[in-house]
Amino acid sequence: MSGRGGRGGRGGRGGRGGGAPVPVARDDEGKVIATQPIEGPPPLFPDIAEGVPELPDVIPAQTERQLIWRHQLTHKWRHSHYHLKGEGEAAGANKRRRADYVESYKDGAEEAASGSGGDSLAGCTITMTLNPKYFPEELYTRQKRSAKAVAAAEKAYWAGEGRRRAEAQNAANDDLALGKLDELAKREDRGAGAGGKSPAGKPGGGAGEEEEAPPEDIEEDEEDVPEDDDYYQNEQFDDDEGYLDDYDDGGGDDAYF
Amino acid sequence: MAQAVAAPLPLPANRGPYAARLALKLVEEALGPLCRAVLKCLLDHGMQQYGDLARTSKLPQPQLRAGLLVLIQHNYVNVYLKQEPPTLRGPGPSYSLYEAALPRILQGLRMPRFLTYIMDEHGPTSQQLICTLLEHGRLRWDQVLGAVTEAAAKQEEGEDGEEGDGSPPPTPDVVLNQFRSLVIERFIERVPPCTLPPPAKQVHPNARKKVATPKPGSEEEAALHREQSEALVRQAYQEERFQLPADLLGGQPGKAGDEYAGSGKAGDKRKRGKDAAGEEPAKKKGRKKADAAAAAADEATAAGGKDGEKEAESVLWRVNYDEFNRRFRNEVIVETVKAKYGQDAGNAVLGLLLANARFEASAQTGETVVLGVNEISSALRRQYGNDLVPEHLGEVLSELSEDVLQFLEAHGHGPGGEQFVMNIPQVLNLARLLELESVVRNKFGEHGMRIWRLLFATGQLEQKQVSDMAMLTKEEAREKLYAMLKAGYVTLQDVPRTADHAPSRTFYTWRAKLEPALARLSSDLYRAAGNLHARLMHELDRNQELLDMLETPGISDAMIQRRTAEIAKLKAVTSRLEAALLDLDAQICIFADV
Repeated sequence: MSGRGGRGGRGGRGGRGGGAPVPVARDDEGKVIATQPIEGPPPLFPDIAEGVPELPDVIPAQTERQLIWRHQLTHKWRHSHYHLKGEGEAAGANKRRRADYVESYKDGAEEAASGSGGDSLAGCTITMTLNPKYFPEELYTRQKRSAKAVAAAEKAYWAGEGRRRAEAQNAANDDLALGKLDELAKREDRGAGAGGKSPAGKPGGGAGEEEEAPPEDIEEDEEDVPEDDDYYQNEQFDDDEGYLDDYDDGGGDDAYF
Repeated sequence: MAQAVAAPLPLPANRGPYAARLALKLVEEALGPLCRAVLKCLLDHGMQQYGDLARTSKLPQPQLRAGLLVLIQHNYVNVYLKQEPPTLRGPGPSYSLYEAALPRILQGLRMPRFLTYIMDEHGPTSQQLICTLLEHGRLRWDQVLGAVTEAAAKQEEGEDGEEGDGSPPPTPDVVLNQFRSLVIERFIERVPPCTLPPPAKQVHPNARKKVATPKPGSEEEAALHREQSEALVRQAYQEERFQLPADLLGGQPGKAGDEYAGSGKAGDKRKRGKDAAGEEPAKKKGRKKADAAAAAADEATAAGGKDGEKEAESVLWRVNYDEFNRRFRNEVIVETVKAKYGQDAGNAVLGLLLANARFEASAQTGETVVLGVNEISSALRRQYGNDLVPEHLGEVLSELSEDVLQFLEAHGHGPGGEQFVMNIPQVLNLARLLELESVVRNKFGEHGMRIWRLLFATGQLEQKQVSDMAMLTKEEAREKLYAMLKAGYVTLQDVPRTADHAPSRTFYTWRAKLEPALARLSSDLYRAAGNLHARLMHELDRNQELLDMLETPGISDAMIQRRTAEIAKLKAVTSRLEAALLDLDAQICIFADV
């Protein structure tokens, strides 16, 4: 191991003196392919190699006609109301200027004029047909109108939600009541079958009676609780915290008197 | 080559980052940096709602709305209405989705070509109609009429108040006739409403799964019904896309009124015949009824006219780029066939395409319908007279159908003579292949093109086989192959003999496939166009002061003369750059839009 380390150390020292090994490309026969030495980063604008086609001196007549139309169209768009420059960051964030740029009076006047505010679509609405069939209303109708519609829809939804919740709760209470009656009946049967458990039936019955009262209390509470108030949403939720507090469901060793 | 060109080539679904870069440059040049910012957000994040767009773009609400409205006005953004499925609480919400119309933005480079084509085919009035619609994106008929008549009046006056060429401006009837013919020929279409459902998702054929018939009453069945109803809505728009409103058709809305008047008169006679004793009261009643019927007829006419006017006012029109692309595609096909098979073959194919025109729905179609020789010759005569019709048209077509390329298929005999069907993508692939070979020759030289053709014909070869069959040295073959691999025109496949993929025990085969090469070339074209546009903008920005001086009204001739050399140099540079841009666009049309 020391020999290996020593050999490696000597080799490492020797290697450090000679420089890091440069990867080479080899062809199919194993010969090294000569490559140009890397002297630095590649140039940004390298010289164009041979084979570039020569520029024609004369532009065809058809192309000349097309150029005229292109100039006309771009000129019209640039000087139309459709050319939106934007304000603030949208216009100036990506604006690049040359290093030797000197702001002229005209540029400053244009920026002041554009920064004075005003409607971005001042002239465009003359030609635009803002019909809901072709342009979504959310792009040109006022927010107040939609806020009213949204508020009315929300109010109707919560009114219906409260009614639905009340109906669901009534149905649940009915189920609860029915379930408790069934449980009582079963306990009575068990009590009739095994006599020792009859005293437990009374507390159970009492507990059931007591538990029957809460649904009535809950119903009374529901009238006071506002329907759309989320704070009281879990009022009727039973989280089993007091499960073993009041009574034992049977199976315990404590006696009830 | 014939076998390799046989399969139809599907167009690339995603045009790539260079296409998006070019689209942003074009929009900034035409509509400004605000619209560019909005479009960038749509291109980066795809189809989205207004709220998502506001969040991702981080633009103030008024600016975002203004930018979106302008982009929609110019048909650079598509709007769809998404209706969510109903839930237990009630009907689902509906919201608008915004999508960047990338193909339409990129075809903005082709607008000058549209205008020169229309001028050659239909004349100056049609050209002015198309130019007005291209300038504003979408307009009503009355706006188009007003703009065209105003432009014609200005042209008559000439610039600077001088007299024009003396030609009288077109009357509204002439403009209306030209507009009607442009709509009938599908150069102009109705703007799609923003209530159309989003386009159906296109699933790749390999990813399609067989789905069993959904059970009645299930969620799948409901989804299927919703898709079918959405397809019906899209179909409804396609049916009315090229329909003119009644007011522009020049129909007779008074027909219903005539019927009313006629029934009133008949009732009047019957009344007289029945009640002979009470003649005067019957006459009075009949007159009253006739008057009432006439009044009703007038109201009906007025209502019909108003409805027609309302319909004409509510319809927006825009230029249909697809029809122009279809015409340019036909030109390419005819030129390719003419170059390969001769003048008569080119004319025969031209007649075939003209006869098939009314059956085509878009520029990207597969085969033509079955057409007889008589139909083809009559289509040629109708358009160009007897000069272009080949003498033995049937024989020419039969010879083409027996060619190795197999782009024309004989379908027996019919009432119109021998019948043929042409495979359009086959001919387009041939045209694209010729363009691709010329590009490979320009980029990698004759030897590079020889290697590429060899690989395309044979399928796959090893490097040693390539150098032997192409009659090149190993070093040169290797350099060319790796240069083409770097450019993306050939691919390299390794076939290992052992599990460790050791290079000494692995075969490396080279392949040249048409699909990836065409996709690469399409991407390179967009990249080159983007670079050209960037250089053009750089030259214009560098000489902005000179351009502002030229645009200043009332500038003296002396000032212009002092800077004639600079102006000439700027004009030469920008003209060459723009001409190169237009030539590139002509190539992009072949590879990306047809």
